[in-house]
Amino acid sequence: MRKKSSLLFTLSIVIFLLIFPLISADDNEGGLTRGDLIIPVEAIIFLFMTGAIILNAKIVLKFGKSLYGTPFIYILFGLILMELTRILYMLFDFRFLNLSHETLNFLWHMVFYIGMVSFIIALQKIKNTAQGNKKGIFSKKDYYLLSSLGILTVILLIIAFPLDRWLNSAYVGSAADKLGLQHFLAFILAGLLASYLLWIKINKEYSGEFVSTIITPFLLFLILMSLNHFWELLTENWKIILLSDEIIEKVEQLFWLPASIILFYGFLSLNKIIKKSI
Amino acid sequence: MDTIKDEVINLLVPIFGAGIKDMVEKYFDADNPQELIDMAHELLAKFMGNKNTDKEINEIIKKFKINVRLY
Repeated sequence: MRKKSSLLFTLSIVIFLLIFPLISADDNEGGLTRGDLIIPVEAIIFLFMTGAIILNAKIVLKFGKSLYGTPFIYILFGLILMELTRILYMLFDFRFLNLSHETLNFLWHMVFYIGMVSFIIALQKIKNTAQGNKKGIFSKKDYYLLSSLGILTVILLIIAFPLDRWLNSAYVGSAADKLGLQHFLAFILAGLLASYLLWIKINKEYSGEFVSTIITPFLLFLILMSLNHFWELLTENWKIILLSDEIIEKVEQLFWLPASIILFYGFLSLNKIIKKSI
Repeated sequence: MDTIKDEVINLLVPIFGAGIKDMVEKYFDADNPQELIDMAHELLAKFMGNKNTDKEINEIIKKFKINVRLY
């Protein structure tokens, strides 16, 4: 597993170096896109994220609302939201989303948090099972909780448009914006998620091979996402590195691409182990 | 009264879903408890680790007072 992890890490660096020369600040004024994203890279991210979602959905279909299936329902929801954040960027770049860059930033962070909360609930359930609690089967409570998270996401997507102007006047330039509060929230959620992942990894004799297979890919995904937020903090909030929006967004794709490949690989490995065992 | 096969199914279904029932019904026999216990142990260990699995399987062994070994 350690060998595979270092392989994944090397792969991330190779991808990073391969895409780096593609980054340029070409503001595509009046063109088909705004020029914020490298479209082929975004298409690859979309494919790998969709692949990870399909592989996760296969696990949900196989195990349903059972003790093993339930955490994967939450992970599936979280993955869909992660992909949604990229779709929002893609729609924005293709000028389908008539929002300011700042509101889009706010919106994707909110959707990201909901996805992270969903991951945390999934891992809490896995941890509970490892601790001998067998009450983690999908219940009405889970149904209401997931529905609430789904409704909250839809509300956010709807209110982003009327709030666009207000957000720009109230939030942009505020103390919270200058500090980069939204990124610190992401760091806190990532830290919480990492603590669950590490607990499961350390206590392998209680959590088993099925779950621990995706722990390392998930940890790498978290590291890359945290680096993404750190990059935004340095460039968009603290302005320690002064760059145009086009460059900032393209560099963010460098974190998302290996992250999506690593997630896909993790779910592919897990599916293989399940297929071999059951 | 439940057989050891029913007990294993009752243990596995809430964990792995209803699909596991068909697999156990089709490929395992209540007359061969060792094989049933081995299968259940292997599957459960992959899900909840060896320590939790030993506890679950030992309860079945105790209940049916069968002479099987845990690998």
